[in-house]
Amino acid sequence: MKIEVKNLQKQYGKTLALDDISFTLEEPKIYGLLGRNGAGKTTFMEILSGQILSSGGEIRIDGEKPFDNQRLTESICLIQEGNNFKRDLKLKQVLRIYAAFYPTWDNDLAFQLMEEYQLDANKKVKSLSKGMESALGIIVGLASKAPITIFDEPYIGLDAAARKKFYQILLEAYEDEKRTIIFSTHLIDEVSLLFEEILILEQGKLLLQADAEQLRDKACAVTGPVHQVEQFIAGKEVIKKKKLAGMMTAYLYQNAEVAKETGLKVESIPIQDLMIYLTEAKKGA
Amino acid sequence: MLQKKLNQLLAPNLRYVYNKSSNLPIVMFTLRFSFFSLLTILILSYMVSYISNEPNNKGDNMKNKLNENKPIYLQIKEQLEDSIINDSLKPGERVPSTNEFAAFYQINPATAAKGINELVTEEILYKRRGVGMFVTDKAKDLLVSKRKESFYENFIKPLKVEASNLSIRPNELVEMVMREEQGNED
Repeated sequence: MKIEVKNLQKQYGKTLALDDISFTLEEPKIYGLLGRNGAGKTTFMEILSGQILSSGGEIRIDGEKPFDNQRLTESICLIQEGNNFKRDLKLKQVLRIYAAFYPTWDNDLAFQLMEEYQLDANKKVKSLSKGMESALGIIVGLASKAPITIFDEPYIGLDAAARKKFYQILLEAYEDEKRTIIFSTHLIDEVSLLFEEILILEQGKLLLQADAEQLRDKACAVTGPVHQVEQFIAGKEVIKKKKLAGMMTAYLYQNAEVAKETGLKVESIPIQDLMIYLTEAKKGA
Repeated sequence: MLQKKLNQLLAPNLRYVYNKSSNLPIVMFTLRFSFFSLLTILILSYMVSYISNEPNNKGDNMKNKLNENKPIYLQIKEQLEDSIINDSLKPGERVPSTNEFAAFYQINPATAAKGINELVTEEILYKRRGVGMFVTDKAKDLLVSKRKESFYENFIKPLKVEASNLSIRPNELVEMVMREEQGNED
């Protein structure tokens, strides 16, 4: 499903959570939606899934607006950080409700995942630990098979092994059937290799939208003696500089191949570092 | 060496057994402990020998983890190239699919596909519809000549830079290269 965002704005009192952002998500891919705390990620995902209204601008999914739109709501599954489910329901009731709601629901997958995460269908949501509740969210998100599945920091309390399993199952499900998966997390290092496209938000604005691999090609870190690096980066768009003991590393937008010809040490910038340096630069830190 | 280590480890336990020989449960426990430490050491030593032999195996170019210092598709590509150059993958042999790479490294399938598709374009691999990707007959020759071309850039140039940093004169450098050669022949 094609998602078009046009001049989207959301205001909470005097705060602008989203400040006139526009972009398009063309095709089913795994998108990484990144940004610091308060960048507007959650607000965007809530508007996209039709849970709240924007203050200005619009989102169109295959040409339609998501708010109060049954056809679209059936195709979007948003899993948030917590409180996704009514606390008094039993797990099997939760699954039954979602099964009835999503036409694309995969019941076999749901119960297979319940077993993998060792959840008891007869227990109530309120009896679950934080990690187990997160696991339930992940199960619902994956089994919904919704054409647009959104995970907003879905794994509070999940241990490293359970997270790894989640990535693995997510990939398997994605390989079986391509769908738009929007993934927002602060554990970027763990998942950055899963993303095909990256969006970085900062203070309600879109800082960057790029193909993850192109980013590793087009932005690089150059290391060498200070004067050589300074010479190389003169007149170029530098994101950040670091100096130590006569050596310098500069992070910049620059094709790695060109940089390599200078004999300086050239490396791609991990997505997580790029996010940090870009948002630091904006904040003037 | 293993024997020496064993003795060192077992000695305190055995001494304990001698001193407290009147106390049967403790003796049993201590003996059992000795047995387990012996077993553990044996297992560990096997593991060590297995791991240290690993680089000699054919699959030594197989990386267990990718890093973000380089585009991921390039790492997938280079890994397949290495496997072909050292004959781990032979002409006509099937290479792992995009999904197999994606599952193994937990990377986006599109990224793995990009690396594999470049090898198809370069005629290192060919596609058989519905079956998979296979190594072409000329793959190794193509790769070897490509690698030879970049050999100067990738290996000789950095070698010379480091040599000049260390004030090693060209004739000294040549001598060193020859010395390594003779060492191999012995």
